[in-house]
Amino acid sequence: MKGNIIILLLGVLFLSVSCKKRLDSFLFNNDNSITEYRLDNYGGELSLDLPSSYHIPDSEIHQFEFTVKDEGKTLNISAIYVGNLNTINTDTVILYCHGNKDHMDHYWPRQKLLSYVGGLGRFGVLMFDYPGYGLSEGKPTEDNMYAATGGALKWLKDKGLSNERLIAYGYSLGSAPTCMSAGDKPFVLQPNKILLEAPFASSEVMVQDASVLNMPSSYFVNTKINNAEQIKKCNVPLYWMHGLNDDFLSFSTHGKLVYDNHNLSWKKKSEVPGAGHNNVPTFMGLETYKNEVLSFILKD
Amino acid sequence: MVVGKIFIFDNMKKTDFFLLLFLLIFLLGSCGPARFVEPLAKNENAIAVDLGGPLVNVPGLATIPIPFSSITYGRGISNSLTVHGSWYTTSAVFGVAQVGGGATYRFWKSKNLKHGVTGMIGFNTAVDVFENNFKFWPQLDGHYYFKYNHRSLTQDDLLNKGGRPAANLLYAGIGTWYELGRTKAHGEKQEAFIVPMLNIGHDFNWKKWTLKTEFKLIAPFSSNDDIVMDYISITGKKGATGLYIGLIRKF
Repeated sequence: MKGNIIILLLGVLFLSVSCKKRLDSFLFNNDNSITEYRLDNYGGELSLDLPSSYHIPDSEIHQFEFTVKDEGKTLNISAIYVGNLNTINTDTVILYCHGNKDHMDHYWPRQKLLSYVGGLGRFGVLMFDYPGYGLSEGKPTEDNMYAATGGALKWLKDKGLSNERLIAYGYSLGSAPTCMSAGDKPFVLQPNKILLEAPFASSEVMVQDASVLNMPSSYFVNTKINNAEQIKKCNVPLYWMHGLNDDFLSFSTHGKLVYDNHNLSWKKKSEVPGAGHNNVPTFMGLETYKNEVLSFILKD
Repeated sequence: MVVGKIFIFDNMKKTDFFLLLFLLIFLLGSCGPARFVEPLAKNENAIAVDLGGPLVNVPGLATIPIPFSSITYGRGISNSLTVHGSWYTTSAVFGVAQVGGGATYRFWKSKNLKHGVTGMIGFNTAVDVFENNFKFWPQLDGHYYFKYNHRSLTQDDLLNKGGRPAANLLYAGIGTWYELGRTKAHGEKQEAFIVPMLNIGHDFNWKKWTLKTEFKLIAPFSSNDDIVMDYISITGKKGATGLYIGLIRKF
């Protein structure tokens, strides 16, 4: 009897590995509790303190949805375009891939700031919510984040955008679809240039940063988000910005590794003293930030 | 063993149970307390359950030790040698089969049996069920112990414990894990070969039961500066401080 109990106990212990809990969901700090996007009227936490002078006329703000497929299901994805819908076929457009927090209301100041690069209306700016963020349907995963990015690019292509007028900007988590768009190039459009603000290198680096030991990321997550390898296939110019005091994604082990692995085209960087993970534009100075982004986009 | 970083990048605000679980699993490399600092008596068996980990300040909640867990079986081969194996229960829930094993040997003991020095050679190994990634880390520990509050020698002590009376135990020592991989992800150099930890612990011993508490300074030479959570370390921006509690049943 005692032996049977021990065998049963050992069996239960070994079978416990079949629980297969994963930590991927922690990658996505999403909020899908809202019923509408409130933009300037949003009362929640914002990604950036922006002066009220950065005003976008209602006529330039276009909220819409597009659909993507995710594991056989059709998901409605919410997006906001700032600019003139009728001139996308001639305009240069910045695709802004936001970070992992909340939804587009949180990042609305970022979209407004980019809309003012070169003066309001100089570039169109498209932002969208990943599945499970804001009003976008679904639960966030790495795959459907890429699917949503592909959907956004398809929408732009349908409006007449071409590769040479597409700029991809990835902040934090958004560096993943941005690097993917220029690395494996699975989408209908490929960017002409990419900007990465506070990017991470990969899930593997995250795990190994966290552990003094060399642990595989598969011990914790299924997500790969392998920017450090994707960027090796990127043959368009890169502008990397990173706060030297970033305590979420280390400047050296994440951002610098991505920057160093980009070797197929020219690149530019801004190492921002004093800045942490969320406030690179603030520490650069908003005017400097806009000017640096503009000069990168315009440089041949 | 591990000083952690978490996946919540932008102004983390979630402090729910899952965050704790996340931190917990991220710190699974933080091995449990020292195993059988004083070896078991010959042919004596023991089952130990451990809980605890590095102290962390969870925003909006409290400063708490990360509660990861393991189950250990040990057997006294002689009065100076105990072999033991551990199963990391929390890791298992996350699809990682993590097993530790080792042998603790007493190199020296004082004539009055109050003092002793032991060493432990062992390993930790883990494999996940998702990609079958396998890791192996050798482990080497050394501890000094001091026994106090000796109870009187009983007939049971003489018959079953090699003549050792029950006594409480204070111990201190150094534990080390060894990372054998020379490169990390993306071909980056693996900087740390030895990951040390300083252990100070206490065993309350009864006839069959032991209540173990241990204070551990984990990776005291590794920076914890770029860590999103506030780890409480007595060395400030180096390493992490761990608290462990365990229950041992001898039979």
